[in-house]
Amino acid sequence: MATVKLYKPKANNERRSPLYIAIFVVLTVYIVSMVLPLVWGITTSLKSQEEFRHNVLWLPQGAPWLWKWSNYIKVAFGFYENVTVVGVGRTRVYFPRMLVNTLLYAGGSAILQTLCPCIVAYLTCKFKYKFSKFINMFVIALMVIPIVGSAPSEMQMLKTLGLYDHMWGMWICKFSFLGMYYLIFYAAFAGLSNDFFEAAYVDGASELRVLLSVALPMVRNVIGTVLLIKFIDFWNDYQTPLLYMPSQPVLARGIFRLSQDSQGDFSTIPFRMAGCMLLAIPTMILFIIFKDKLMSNLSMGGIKE
Amino acid sequence: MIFYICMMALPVLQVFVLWFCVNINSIFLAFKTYDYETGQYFWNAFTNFKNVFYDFGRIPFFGASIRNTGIIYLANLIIGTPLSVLFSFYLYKKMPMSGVFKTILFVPHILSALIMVVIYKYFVDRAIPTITEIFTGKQIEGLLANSDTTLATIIFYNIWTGFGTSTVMYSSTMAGISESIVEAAKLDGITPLKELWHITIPLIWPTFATFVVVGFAGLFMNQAALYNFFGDNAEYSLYTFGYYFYVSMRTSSITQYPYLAALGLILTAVALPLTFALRKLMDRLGPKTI
Repeated sequence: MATVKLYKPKANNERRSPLYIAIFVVLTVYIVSMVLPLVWGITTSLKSQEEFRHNVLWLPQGAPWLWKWSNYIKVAFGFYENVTVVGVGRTRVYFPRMLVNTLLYAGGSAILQTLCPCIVAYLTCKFKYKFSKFINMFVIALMVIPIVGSAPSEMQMLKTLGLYDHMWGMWICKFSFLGMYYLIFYAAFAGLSNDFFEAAYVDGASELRVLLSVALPMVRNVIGTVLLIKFIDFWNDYQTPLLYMPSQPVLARGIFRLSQDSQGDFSTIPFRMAGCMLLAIPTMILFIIFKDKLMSNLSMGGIKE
Repeated sequence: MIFYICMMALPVLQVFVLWFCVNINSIFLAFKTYDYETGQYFWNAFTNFKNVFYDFGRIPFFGASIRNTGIIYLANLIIGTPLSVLFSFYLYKKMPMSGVFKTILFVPHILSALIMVVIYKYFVDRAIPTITEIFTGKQIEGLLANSDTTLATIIFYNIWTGFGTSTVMYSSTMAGISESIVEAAKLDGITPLKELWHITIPLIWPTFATFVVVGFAGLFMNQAALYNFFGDNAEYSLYTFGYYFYVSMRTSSITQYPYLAALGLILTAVALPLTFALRKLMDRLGPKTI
């Protein structure tokens, strides 16, 4: 009697493949190399400088409630950045003010840099004019055209237009649709069925109503993901505000200064680590809450057909 | 049409002024010089370009910038990119602990590069010498403090923290591969290595090629996190062009702007054909790039 050999997935055999074992080992080493310095950073932030000199590696001495939690309080309320404000002179900006600046910079820039590519992508995707094609080609071409050294000209332009050293100036700079996220939004709108839009038009909806009530809600997941990514990017960005908004320091710039200063009360490694952790807490909370959202919806380029 | 024009007007105006005009002005600036006494810019033909070429042979950090920019890009391409693809393949196949690995790989993308640098800097300079002393009894210098290992330590840092976005992108793209193709190959007894090489990589080629080309396009603006490590005071031997530009913008007066614009124009002229050549090469090797 003939027997038929059925195919059975070799899940366990596949898992024992040398390739997967090798990647597993490399990834495990990677994870240890990533987690170890982070844990070391946290424990260091809870030591006094005196203790750190004698105990570089291990946990702070004593019970957890005796550790130097005060490092965080001292940095949060004692650390300041000196800035020069036109018409005022040299002034101190403390941590809480830096936090407000960061929220304004990161929040405003993230909203504008999410909405702008989103709306332009909607327009170019749904209105097939020649100009839409041009915009599409323009954005794609710019991604692979290497333009080096336009910063001096940008600085000149910002000063000429009165945008330099103003929060709203930064927002205007960030109101741009250029970049990868335009393509992501374009792909999201291209994937929507035209039936929804046509039904809205039949019901007498205006173009603006269709955009606000049909199109944007249908891509709200992508909007949410891009908004989060952008917020985290701008929260962590200190180089742009340092260059173009020198009198309004953001938190990341404060931490940069804290990490570089070799004099002053806060120029110790535990204080520097405490400052870093303070900067990291909000983004880590966002990451923990929106982890799946942040690590999904990111697809570009696609699959070869 | 009116709706289209109204909605498009502001974004297009922004790009026209803050991209197009800025770049046109950058080209003009490269042919000018600033006069402190009058506070005006004057045309000076090719003087800035002559100065840049003259400095290339004279100032040591230009040579170091060329070398370091190349080394860091190649190290990322040769070590970082293959590891990224392998990690993504592992995540895509949902092998043991994939979720944990994916999360930790993404952490450097969430934490500020500054935080990563500060922790890494003191870890390699303070903790690693202590660990080495405990295990071997030998006293060593910090890896950043020791000039023999500084560059290698920075290159390692750049690879070490560079997996987040590419791994998520590659594994998202791999997730779109048709199950039937993979199942058919498995029926033919394909091994995971062959599946990766003959099915997965060819199918994610557009994304892969996009990353390689876009990464190359940003070659001369890559700071390699040097500003986070050293602020304005990195050793000349560690310079990259991206770092040089940023530090110059921070520390130079406006008299230096024309010189920087000329250098930028020269580097753009070098990078542009190379980027297009790379794109052509990726097109030849695979089906389609952006």
